[in-house]
Amino acid sequence: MRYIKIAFLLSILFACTKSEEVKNILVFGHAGMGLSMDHSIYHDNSKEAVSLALNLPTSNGVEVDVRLGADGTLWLYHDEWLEAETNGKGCVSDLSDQDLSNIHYQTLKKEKLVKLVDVLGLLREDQQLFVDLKHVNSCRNERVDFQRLKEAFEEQLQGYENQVKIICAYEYWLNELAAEYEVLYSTDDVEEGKKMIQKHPSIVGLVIRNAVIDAQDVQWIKQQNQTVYLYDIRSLKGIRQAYSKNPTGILADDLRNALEERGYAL
Amino acid sequence: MNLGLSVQKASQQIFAPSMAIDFAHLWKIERISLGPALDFSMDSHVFGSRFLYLHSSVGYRLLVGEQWQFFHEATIGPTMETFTYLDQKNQQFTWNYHLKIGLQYALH
Repeated sequence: MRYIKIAFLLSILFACTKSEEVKNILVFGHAGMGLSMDHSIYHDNSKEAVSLALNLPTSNGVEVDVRLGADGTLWLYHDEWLEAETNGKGCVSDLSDQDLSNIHYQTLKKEKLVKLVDVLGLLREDQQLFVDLKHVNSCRNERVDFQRLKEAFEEQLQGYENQVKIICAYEYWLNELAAEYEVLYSTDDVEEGKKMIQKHPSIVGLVIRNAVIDAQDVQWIKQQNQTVYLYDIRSLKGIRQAYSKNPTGILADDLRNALEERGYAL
Repeated sequence: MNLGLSVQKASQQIFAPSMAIDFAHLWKIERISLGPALDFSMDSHVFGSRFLYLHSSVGYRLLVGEQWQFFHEATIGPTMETFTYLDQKNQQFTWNYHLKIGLQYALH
């Protein structure tokens, strides 16, 4: 009977122990505390959401969506049109800093639009920031000016180059950006992603939707000495699925559960 | 005693109201009673730090029946979350709401 009790206690102990692989997966808040999450306390890409995500125990950092404003300032905003989420109208790329600083999200807390420089100071030394570069101005149906964008990065990321990774979905900017920063290619197509890391060895990896990639492809990418980060992970089931593929990291929409599921001991 | 299913969005922790005051018999017509209800509760969990939650909410409670009573309660109010991690104090305010339906047995 004594041995049965010991075996039972050991089985519980091992059942509760996270695998070493899971503990090594990096966890980042997607757009702060999650992108378009109905029950999130704060709106995505707000300073409040980023601050909370960075302050949660064991958080490795956050991902934010960045657009270039008309005055050359980088602002956090995900959607193409301001009227989709805020009291503003038009596109970030067409508005001045003065106009953008008066815009707030249409939520109870009315979080204001925030500049990228205003969230960089929230990073701890051991944390990283993924900058998801939104490269299209939908109001004009054109790409943003790459030279102005590069100048903005140079000026506004100064001092944080080692803590920032750029996510870019536009192939033709990859190599030039990769000369200055760690750059990841964003895609929803696994085969295209695999081709990109072979075609552009200067990039450091892929950011890819969790649902479209399996464990085998994740391991193949890692075997090429590339990193792979999964996103669009909203449920506990999705978090467990993503962890089972052993990626380099995940951009979690439910950051609290993702951190707890990984476990505290790092 | 409360028995039932507690589905919580956002916090995903199970807790019971620490204190509940209801005046469900304030207005009574035949077998139907209605009155205001106040709920106060706190809970916490530890993940690298102690997270503390304080909830309060106000609403109404409806009872139908004599000994066995069908009840329905709806309340809404503020929630405060606090935790300290790496000497950084964090405090958030948000809303909590409760919708309850069920059966209860009156002891007298």
